[in-house]
Amino acid sequence: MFADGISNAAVFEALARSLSLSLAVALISGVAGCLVAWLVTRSDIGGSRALAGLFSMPYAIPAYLLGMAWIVLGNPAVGAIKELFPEGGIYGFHGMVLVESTVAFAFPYLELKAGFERMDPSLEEAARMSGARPWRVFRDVSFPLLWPPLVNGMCLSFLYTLSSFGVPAMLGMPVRQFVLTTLIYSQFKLGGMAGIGAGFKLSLLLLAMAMLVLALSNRLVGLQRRRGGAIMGSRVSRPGLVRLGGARLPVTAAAWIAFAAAVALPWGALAFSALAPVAGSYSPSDWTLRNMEYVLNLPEFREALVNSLALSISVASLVVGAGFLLAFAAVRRGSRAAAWLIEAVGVPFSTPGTVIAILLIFAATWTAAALGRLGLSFDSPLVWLALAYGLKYCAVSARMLAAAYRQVHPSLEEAAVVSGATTFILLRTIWLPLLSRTVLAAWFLTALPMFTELTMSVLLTGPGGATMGTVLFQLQEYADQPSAAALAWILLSAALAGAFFMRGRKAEEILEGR
Amino acid sequence: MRKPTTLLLLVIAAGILSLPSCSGKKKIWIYTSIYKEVIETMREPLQKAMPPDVEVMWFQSGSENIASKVNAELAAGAARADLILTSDPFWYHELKDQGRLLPYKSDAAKDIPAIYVDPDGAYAGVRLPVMVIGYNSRYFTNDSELPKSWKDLADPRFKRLISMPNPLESGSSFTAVALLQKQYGWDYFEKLRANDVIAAGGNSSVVTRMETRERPVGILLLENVLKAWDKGSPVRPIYPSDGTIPVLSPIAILRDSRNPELARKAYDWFFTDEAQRAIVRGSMYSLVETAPSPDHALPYAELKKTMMPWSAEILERMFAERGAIKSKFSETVLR
Repeated sequence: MFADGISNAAVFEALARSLSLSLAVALISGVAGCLVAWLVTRSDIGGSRALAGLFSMPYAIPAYLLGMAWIVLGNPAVGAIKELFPEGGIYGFHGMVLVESTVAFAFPYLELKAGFERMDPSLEEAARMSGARPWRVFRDVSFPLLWPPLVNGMCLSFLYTLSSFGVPAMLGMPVRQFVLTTLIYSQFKLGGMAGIGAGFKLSLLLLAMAMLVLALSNRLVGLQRRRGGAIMGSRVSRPGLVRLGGARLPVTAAAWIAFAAAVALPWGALAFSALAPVAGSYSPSDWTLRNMEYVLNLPEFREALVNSLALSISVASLVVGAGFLLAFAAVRRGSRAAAWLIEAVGVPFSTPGTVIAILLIFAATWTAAALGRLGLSFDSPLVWLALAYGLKYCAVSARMLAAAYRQVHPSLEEAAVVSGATTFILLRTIWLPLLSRTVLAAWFLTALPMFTELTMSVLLTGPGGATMGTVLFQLQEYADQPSAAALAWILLSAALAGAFFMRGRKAEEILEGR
Repeated sequence: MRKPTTLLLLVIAAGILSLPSCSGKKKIWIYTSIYKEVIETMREPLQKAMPPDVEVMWFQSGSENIASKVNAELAAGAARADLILTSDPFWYHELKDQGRLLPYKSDAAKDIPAIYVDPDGAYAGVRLPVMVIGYNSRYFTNDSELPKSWKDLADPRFKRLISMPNPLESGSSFTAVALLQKQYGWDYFEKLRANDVIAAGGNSSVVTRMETRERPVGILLLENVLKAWDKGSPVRPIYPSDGTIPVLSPIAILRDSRNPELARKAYDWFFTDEAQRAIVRGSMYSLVETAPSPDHALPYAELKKTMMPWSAEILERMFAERGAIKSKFSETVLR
């Protein structure tokens, strides 16, 4: 029914696995995201400022590199911590849940962190002074206000996992566990023309699932909206921190251990792999810097660095800027067209990168033919890469910002309008500062995956269009695993340094160079 | 709404970025899966062999990515590529069936054995990768433990020791599956399945699995083994006694080519000594009998003696059964 060479039973099995995997990841990242966001913003946990920044780091690691690192750690033959896993090592459903959750955790976490920071802490303090215990405060005060960003964050986690390809390919396919995206991929890869058709059919199935989830989450958020807009924070009061008391030490330790397991462990595994002369020879006496040198001296490395930086910074800024305005129009001005657009951009986000790339190749071919008739030629792959990145990731900022606008009470805006403020002044002086943390989080969540995007880039690149993703693919396919690990380690270290620099700052501080 | 304006701005910005590439030169596009290092040694000589007003453009990626890209370009109207050089013979056959290839019986290719050349001149073999067995020489201390043939891999003593590239993804792996099932039947793959073979990823992931001893034995392209050996990896090749598997890697001109004359000129260049030497340096066999063999590799004259039979008819038959082979493999090994 769906494809040559694949039975319906196989398709349904993959569908069921896709859905259960995405659901598991959404639930785990939702609960963990909520917990960590609360700990770093509202409790006296040790090193909260550092932790707050560090916990967004796993997202900086492209999922396929994280997969690579975990294979080094959980390889059933030589993995350093293979004893912690069942017999098959990291491979299988549990491995996919673990690695995907590490990355997808960032969506609810960053949304909720921004939400807590935006929320007026005096509400919680009032409840606490009236004698409510922390759990009660959370349940009756914080949670009802933070409902939209939480649902939206979990929804993004779900869609992210549903459309992800790298991790299921690395950890599922070797043990014959297919999900929809890996099934679609094999159809595109060796199906000839018929395969393209079958791949598209399967993508529609995936899309239907995604739309279902989007509709469901919109209903939930809609319910909240009818109950009346939530409160915004004045920026004066610092939250009084909840004292963890005797639990402070163990909770702090647990948080740092969780961070170490999620980021430091894979970081170390990549470093070990990068230092190994050959994959699998990890003894310190064999260590070599050869792989690092090889990567840094690659002729495409500099080109890729420039391209990826330029593409991710410019496209992410455009997309977040557009999302800021679009969400404003949709939520505060009630524009139906804008609300519809925000829904619509959920489609490319939940479409596998391969499908988007194939459609853009169609577009590129048509454009080239049309320009050719005018006697022009136009070969830059960067345009199509930019378009692909923009399409794929614009949903993140639009949805995050819409949820944030919804969370804030319109009284400030109304006051400004009464005083005669124009829309521009309104956005500049009221909304941008209020939403700055969400803007920054959205920018971060948009720019980072663009910087290392692989699936679409390898299909759309061309002369002069090398990116970090295409170089990684190159190293993985044509060089060797240690060289790919070396590049991965460099990228990850750079991302860690970036996060360290940005920790605790607000968007406008960074924009104004403070 | 703001979205269209944004997109417009984006297109304009990108247009400015791309201005330098809008030069007046004629362009010849080559899409290939050859190693980038090999392309670097070919770039200048080929440019010199072409007229001065022609610019040679290379697009390098995996065979399957190139097939996806060209198929999409063709479905949308016209392919940008003038020449294609990848290693999936079945794709070339499909393109020929659809009338997408420009026949060219070149004198330059007259030394290529007839079994590797399309009788209608749609494509010709320009290099010959072969599928062999690879193993980690640090894992096996005793040579007598090693597999000697494809048939040996079905033996239970290799349980949980073998990996191979996924034939649904990799053309070279598909050729191996098609020829092996022709020789030994699906029974052979049932035994491989019983040995818990991993069939995932491409040839490079097989190398990594061998090196990390996750799966110390692999079914893969010889060139991947030789490259790894060169870098000090303990991975070594075994030329199976029941026949190494040839993976025909042709060159062809697409019918959409805007400069067929120039495309033919470039096509001819790939059969020159200069080009063939670059291919051999890239650890692949040349199909020109007089050319040397790659370093560390069995001499071509020796290799030829145990190569599995190949011909245009075999290709035709396997092409016709392609869908059936893939689904049978999925059922037998991937479930």
